[in-house]
Amino acid sequence: MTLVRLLEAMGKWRGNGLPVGLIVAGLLLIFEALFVNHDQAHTAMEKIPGFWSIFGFLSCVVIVFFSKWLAHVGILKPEDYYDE
Amino acid sequence: MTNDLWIHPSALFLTGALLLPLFRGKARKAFLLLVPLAAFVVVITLQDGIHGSVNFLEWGMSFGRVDALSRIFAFIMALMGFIGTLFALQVRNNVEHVAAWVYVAGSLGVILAGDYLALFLFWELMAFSSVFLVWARKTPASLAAGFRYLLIHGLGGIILLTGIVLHQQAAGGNFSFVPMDVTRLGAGGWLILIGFLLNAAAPPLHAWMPDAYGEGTPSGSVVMSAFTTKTAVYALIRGFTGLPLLLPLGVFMVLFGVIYAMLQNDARRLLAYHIISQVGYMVAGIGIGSGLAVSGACAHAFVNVLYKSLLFMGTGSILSMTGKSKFSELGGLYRKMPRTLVYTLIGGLSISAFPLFAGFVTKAMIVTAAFDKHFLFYAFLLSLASSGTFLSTTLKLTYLIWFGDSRCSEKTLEKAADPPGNMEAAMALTAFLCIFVGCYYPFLYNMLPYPFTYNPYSAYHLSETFQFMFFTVVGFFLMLPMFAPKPYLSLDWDWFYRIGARYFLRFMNFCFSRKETAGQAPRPSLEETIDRLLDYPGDFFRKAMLMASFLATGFMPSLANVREDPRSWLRNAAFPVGLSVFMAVFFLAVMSILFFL
Repeated sequence: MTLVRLLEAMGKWRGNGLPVGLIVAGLLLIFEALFVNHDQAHTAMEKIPGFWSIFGFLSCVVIVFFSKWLAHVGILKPEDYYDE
Repeated sequence: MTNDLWIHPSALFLTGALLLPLFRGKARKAFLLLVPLAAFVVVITLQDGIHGSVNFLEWGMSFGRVDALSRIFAFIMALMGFIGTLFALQVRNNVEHVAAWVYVAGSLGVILAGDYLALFLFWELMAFSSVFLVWARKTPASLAAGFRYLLIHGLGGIILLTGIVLHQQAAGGNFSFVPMDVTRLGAGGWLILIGFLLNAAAPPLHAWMPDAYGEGTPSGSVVMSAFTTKTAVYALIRGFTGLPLLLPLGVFMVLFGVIYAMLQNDARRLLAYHIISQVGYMVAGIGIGSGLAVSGACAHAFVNVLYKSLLFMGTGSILSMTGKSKFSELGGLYRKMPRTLVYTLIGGLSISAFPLFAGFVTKAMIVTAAFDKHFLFYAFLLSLASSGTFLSTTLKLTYLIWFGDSRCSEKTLEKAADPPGNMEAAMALTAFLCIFVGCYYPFLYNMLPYPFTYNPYSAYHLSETFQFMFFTVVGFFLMLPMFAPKPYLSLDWDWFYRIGARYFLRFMNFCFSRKETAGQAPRPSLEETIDRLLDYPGDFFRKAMLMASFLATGFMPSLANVREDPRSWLRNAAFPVGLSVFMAVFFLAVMSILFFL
């Protein structure tokens, strides 16, 4: 199973998450600085370098915490909730 | 009837469904593939125009309106009919195939319907056939979910029909299904809109979907995920393009689906909530109403059929192989089902709008249209929700099923393996189409009905997407412990009718059945109390009359003067018959007075 071996090889990279993440983030910013024409931006704040990185990260945090808050206020119930 | 020979693609599916039980063995499998293929060929050779017009009573019905809008929807529905049947090929139960084909026929019928009568006919056909795809799972939970599905769609059908009748009255006896005047909808228009939105699963009319799609058979949910909502999107585009209400509603759907999906422990319920979210993009596009936005809604519906069914096929494969669909009972399956992982991942990247995958070229059309029309707040909210889509359908779904700690029982691990050839072929074909549309987007753009100019592969869009997605991945791994699956269910609007029905039942029991409690005299039910009151009504009536005459005249006649006992009238049925005759005459009199007024 070559596919399984490939997945396992990728799994070994997991420990290097921090350096790999920093390199990718750096490349993304370099790509934006060199190649991206900000004329397509609709608002002024989109022209800030890395705006979509910050927006993406904040979106992710907002969604996760909002759903956790919903769970906290009682939307989540035990699985037998509807059983009589 | 028209003179040209015109074959309705639904007719092929319906005839196929009738003939299917006659076939056995290999001939049955060949027939199962041949019918959807033939229907697909019929659909791609459809000529523009109005076909299949018949006269029904005093109205003309047209079953075949073919134009650019109906063609793109019919194309993807017929294609999905083939993919769905291929995925279900190993299913021995004919009921499932017949139900799926009648359901596809209903969906194609709605898309080609030129008037509200034909639309309603096929609309109901869809509801009443698809419920068998839930029931075919044959568990108590699926039976109950199927009944709830049927009740809600029955209600939606009644609302739609009421709207159609009112609209026809307002439109001067015209049933034709043409764009509404969205500035003045009228009661009929609003009711039709509610009927459509119920099938589009717009909150609060959406709870039937996670409920039924989570309980359907593995292949049944694949088919259902593709048709009901996208047919409703087609109907909304046809009837309600530019209705301002649809933009905030669509944005709400997008966020609602994404946030609720985060709470799900069942993979297929998670995906059902993402249908709400994805349909939200389309509804928002319809609300914006510009050429780019509505074409974006069509394109997004097209690719949504592909990637959503692919995701349901991936989770359906897990369910049919292991019998499990809950994250709390899965995990670490990558050694056992690696190819299913790849297909599901392609579906996940497509729905998340990753570059080179299908969603990338369509979702951005709607978001860009929102920016172009200066709905900045809504446009940013639509962008924000993309993060949630990527989080749950790609990262959470694949991580919790294929990677991380295994929560599988030994039996689950033993059974887990990549699914049979036909299921894998269906997944491979759909995965190929997802990548094909994502890479060669003119294939899709050339089919779109409204004019627009848009290039998804601009450096700005690529940079935006890569940054956005990479930091969503970062967020996911930083918050990984918060994604640990727990065996819980989430309350939704179905709470109102599930718990409401329970109290209604209790109330009815209280009124109409005798409660026997040990050591106490049985409490008379409401029914018995009413019975006692109405027992011998003549007796009450006579006493009342005597009292009235006494009050009026001061003379109290002896009861003995009344010759006949009213009890004997009752025994001889004279009283009820007389009362019925009296009521009939009375209401006729009232009716005729009202009529001549």
